[in-house]
Amino acid sequence: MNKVAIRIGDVAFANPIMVASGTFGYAQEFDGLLDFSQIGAIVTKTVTLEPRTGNPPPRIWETAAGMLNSIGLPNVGVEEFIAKKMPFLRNLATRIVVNVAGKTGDDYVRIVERLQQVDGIDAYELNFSCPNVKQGGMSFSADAQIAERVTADVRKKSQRPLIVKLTPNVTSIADIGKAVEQGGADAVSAINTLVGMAVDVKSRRPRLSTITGGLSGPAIKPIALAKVYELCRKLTIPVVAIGGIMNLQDALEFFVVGATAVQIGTANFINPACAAEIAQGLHGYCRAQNLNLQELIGSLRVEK
Amino acid sequence: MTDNCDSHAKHLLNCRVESLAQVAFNTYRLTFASNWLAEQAQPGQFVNIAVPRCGDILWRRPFSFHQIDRHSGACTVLIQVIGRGSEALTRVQPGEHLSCLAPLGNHFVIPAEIDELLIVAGGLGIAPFFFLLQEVAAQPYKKVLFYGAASADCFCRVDELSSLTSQLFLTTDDGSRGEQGLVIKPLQRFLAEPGGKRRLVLTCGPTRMMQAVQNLCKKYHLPGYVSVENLMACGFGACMGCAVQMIDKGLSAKPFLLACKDGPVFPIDEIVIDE
Ligand SMILES: Cc1cc2nc3c(=O)[nH]c(=O)nc-3n(C[C@H](O)[C@H](O)[C@H](O)COP(=O)(O)OP(=O)(O)OC[C@H]3O[C@@H](n4cnc5c(N)ncnc54)[C@H](O)[C@@H]3O)c2cc1C
Ligand SMILES: Cc1cc2nc3c(=O)[nH]c(=O)nc-3n(C[C@H](O)[C@H](O)[C@H](O)COP(=O)(O)O)c2cc1C
Ligand code: FES
Repeated sequence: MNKVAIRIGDVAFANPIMVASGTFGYAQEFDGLLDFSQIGAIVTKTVTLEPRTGNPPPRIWETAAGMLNSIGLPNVGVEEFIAKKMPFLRNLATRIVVNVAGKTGDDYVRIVERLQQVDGIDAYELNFSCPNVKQGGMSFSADAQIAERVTADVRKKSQRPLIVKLTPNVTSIADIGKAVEQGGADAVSAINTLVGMAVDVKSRRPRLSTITGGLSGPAIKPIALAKVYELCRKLTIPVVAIGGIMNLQDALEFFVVGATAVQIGTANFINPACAAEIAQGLHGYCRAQNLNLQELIGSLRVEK
Repeated sequence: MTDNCDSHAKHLLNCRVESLAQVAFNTYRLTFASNWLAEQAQPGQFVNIAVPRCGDILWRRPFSFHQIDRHSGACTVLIQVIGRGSEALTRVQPGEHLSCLAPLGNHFVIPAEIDELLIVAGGLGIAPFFFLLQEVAAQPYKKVLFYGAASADCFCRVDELSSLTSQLFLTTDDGSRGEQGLVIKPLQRFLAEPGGKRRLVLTCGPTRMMQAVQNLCKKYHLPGYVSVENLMACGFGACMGCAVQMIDKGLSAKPFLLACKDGPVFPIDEIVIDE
């Protein structure tokens, strides 16, 4: 019996270990490095309506137990994504979640409308939160009303589950989470990267061309745990946890605070087989402990 | 530069350290064993090595293949200690295992019909050229190496390099060996003299040196390749962090290429060489 299967909306996932958007490309780069069928889902690099070239270099900087990035959502645009990337993706024996972003609410609606005509896609993740696109995402992630409205607009056009990806760079992530739940989201995912910065004292220049960027990796795990815990307490829809997960132990912590699934991000760069190894580890853990994943989820014990 | 995906070419390997030896000031030769990799590796490609025992160091560290023994399976990289990762990698013990992601990147392609191969290396930029010179040893064309370093004790394997080349120019910043000054000086003189008709220039090293080589190639209308060393989070095209800017020739639709996947070797007239 599969002890680790989960559901988001009406879609079942064989296990709750996914790979995070922007850290797994469109999966091609990982061909041969891991068995795709062992992971629960692949979340694609963000797809936008028009192609984007991304930010000028330097785009990355290593920090203590983490990294900063300001990649700027380079991607081929939705039409070429469908023509060039979907043929490979749809043949993989795993769920495909397409991450989409837009400059306006209407962009999200148009991309999802277009993707509705394409088979091989199992769900959408709406990136309301990328901190690296200047006039992009920000307003959606920071304003509960707009977030709710855009979610509801996309909901009307989508026959597939909607996961809304939230930024931690707001006063109350739960307020935004509540709003998108109200708007009809089937799940939220959190967290996207935290705004961060690094400076070269010798040249007096910022390390990234965009001055600030997004912090990810083990350094953000405690923050991610706190945000996911908060979301799990305030929302009724599933929470997909992201942030600094490097191994099985990290993933288990997120399940204990209430996450239904987790996404592996930065860790894919260091160990490309990481997500498959964590999924295998989770099967083993549930077997050894003789428990269902559902019993683990939200099992945090706190004194009242 | 191509869009085709030869992703099966790379593997995650657990390689046994065979030996570690200091070869120059702050510079070590690390040899590990992998028969498969020794068959696959091409000059210009690199290996991304996980730093052992340093939990807070996140990224792997990329190093060019410096020497490959295709028969024994010995793979060697040349490591200059510049920070904590390279420092830790020069403290490993023979018998220990290292997690290696390789082979990564594209490689040098040298057309057989050239007359002269001109290699311009600064400091650790020499690393890939030892392997390259070994691979082209049987080729009839002339091989000229321009090799600059900070001082005499920074040079690596000069005697062996000398036997692999037809002509060798050494320069040091402090004049302690070879000519004093930039490696560009002997290169400039060499190019000003009439010589082989079909020359190809290869370069790897400090940014300013590579920029100067780029300018000379332009001036003398010489084809050339440059090997870049951008910071890399993944090394295999997944993060898109290692972007290299293309020179705007008006028709280029793709303003950026990835150093780890489209490179690290680029035609010298195609990319902006920047810090
Ligand atoms: C394709 C490729 C091939 C390479 N081949 C070799 C090689 O054969 N031999 C070798 O010794 N090194 C090589 N390098 C560089 C090597 O990867 C770095 O020196 C190493 O990662 C530094 O790690 P560290 O932890 O010691 O330094 P860190 O602590 O990470 O950095 C110390 C300082 O050095 C700077 N720095 C780090 N990496 C680079 C870089 N790539 N370029 C410029 N400045 C940098 C940092 O900004 C910092 O100021 C190569 C790099 C690439 C991308
Ligand atoms: C290099 C890089 C690129 C990213 N690109 C995207 C992206 O295109 N879309 C998106 O929604 N999130 C993107 N993210 C955010 C990750 O999906 C994830 O939310 C974040 O990195 C935190 O998880 P981690 O600590 O496990 O990496 C990116 C992260 C990194 C490091
Ligand atoms: S280092 Fe990640 S794409 Fe090149």
